[in-house]
Amino acid sequence: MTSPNFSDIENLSALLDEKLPADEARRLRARLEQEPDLRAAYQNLRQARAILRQLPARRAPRNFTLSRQMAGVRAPTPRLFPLFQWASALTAIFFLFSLGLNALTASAPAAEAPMLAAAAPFAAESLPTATEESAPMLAAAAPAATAEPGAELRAAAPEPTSAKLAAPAADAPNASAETPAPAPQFSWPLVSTLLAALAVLLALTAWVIRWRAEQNFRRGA
Amino acid sequence: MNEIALIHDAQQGDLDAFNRLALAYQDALYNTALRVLGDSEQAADATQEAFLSAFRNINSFRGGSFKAWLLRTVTNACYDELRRQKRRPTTPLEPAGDDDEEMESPRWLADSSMTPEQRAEADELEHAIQHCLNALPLDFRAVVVLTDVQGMDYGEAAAAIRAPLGTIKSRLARARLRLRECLQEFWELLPAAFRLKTEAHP
Repeated sequence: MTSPNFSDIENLSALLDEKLPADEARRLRARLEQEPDLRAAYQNLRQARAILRQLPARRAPRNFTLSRQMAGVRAPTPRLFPLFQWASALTAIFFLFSLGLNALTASAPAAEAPMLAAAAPFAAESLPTATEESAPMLAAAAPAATAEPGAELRAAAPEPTSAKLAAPAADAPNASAETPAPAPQFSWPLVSTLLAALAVLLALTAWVIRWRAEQNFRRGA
Repeated sequence: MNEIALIHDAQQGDLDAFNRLALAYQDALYNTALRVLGDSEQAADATQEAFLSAFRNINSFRGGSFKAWLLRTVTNACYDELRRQKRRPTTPLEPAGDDDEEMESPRWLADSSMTPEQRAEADELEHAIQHCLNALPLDFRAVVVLTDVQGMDYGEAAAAIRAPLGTIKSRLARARLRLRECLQEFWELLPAAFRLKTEAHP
């Protein structure tokens, strides 16, 4: 007869809970009948378990349910909220786009200003010619250009821009007779301002929709 | 109570469904925390923390015993609480008795149907057991509370504390042995009826 080792204690504890395989349980029960130390250890374990089972079950001192705030539950998103949110985002993108266009249109005239200045006298000279002389002369100039390409190219070399610039002037005769009506100006800065205002308005509306939904949700909680 | 339906609803974010589950299991969770921590205030805090954590992570529940899953969250909350205590030890504030001494088993917690004598015996027994539980290492304490106090089987306890079955078996045997030795010191303090009852076993 030997005093039980820890492996025996483990098996006795498992036997107590009926968690020992059948053949092992049978062997251990046979030993229990023959070994008083083993039997005493088994009784100790059994008593410890019995004492623990005597512990009274306490009732919870309060309810542990969660409030919406504790659980961090947010109000359901109102249906209109994403609509306004996306509209606001799109408007903001258009706004940025318009700012870009604004910058482009503002820089283009500045780059072309010296060329316009250089072309102005030529245009001023050619304007009366174009108005006084008739179209046939212009038509005759065209074949001449084809007949003497080298000379014409040399002569025309500095002129392409001025010719291009003069082209509206050449078209001007008809208009020059009457007072030229100012073309309607498309104001990009105005568009940008309107888009910015619209983006802010849409974002505000989205925020108000969300805020009101959360207020209603809290009142309901 | 259709537990599966409530769990499903809670997983969809239905707080009311979760709260119904909380009401059903709050006593089990509170008792586990109380026996592991040995303090009613801390046990209440750990229980609340466990339910909060359970709601946030309910989608990680993949079936099986919901009670075992909840008990795992409360065991974790107890571990966290004990770690916090180690970092910032505090003096427990317990209700004072007539003689201005702190009562570890306040009367307001006791069952009103008991006579004063029975209540005193029960308090004494509970005090002794809790004292011995507190003397156990935390890992042993958790296993013995889950199996012998909460009545979980080895598999559930293993799932609750994420340990292999062999570890549960070993820790439980050691815990029972140590408890028995510890309670030996209190044997004379234990109520006579209980002494006779436990010693009567062959």
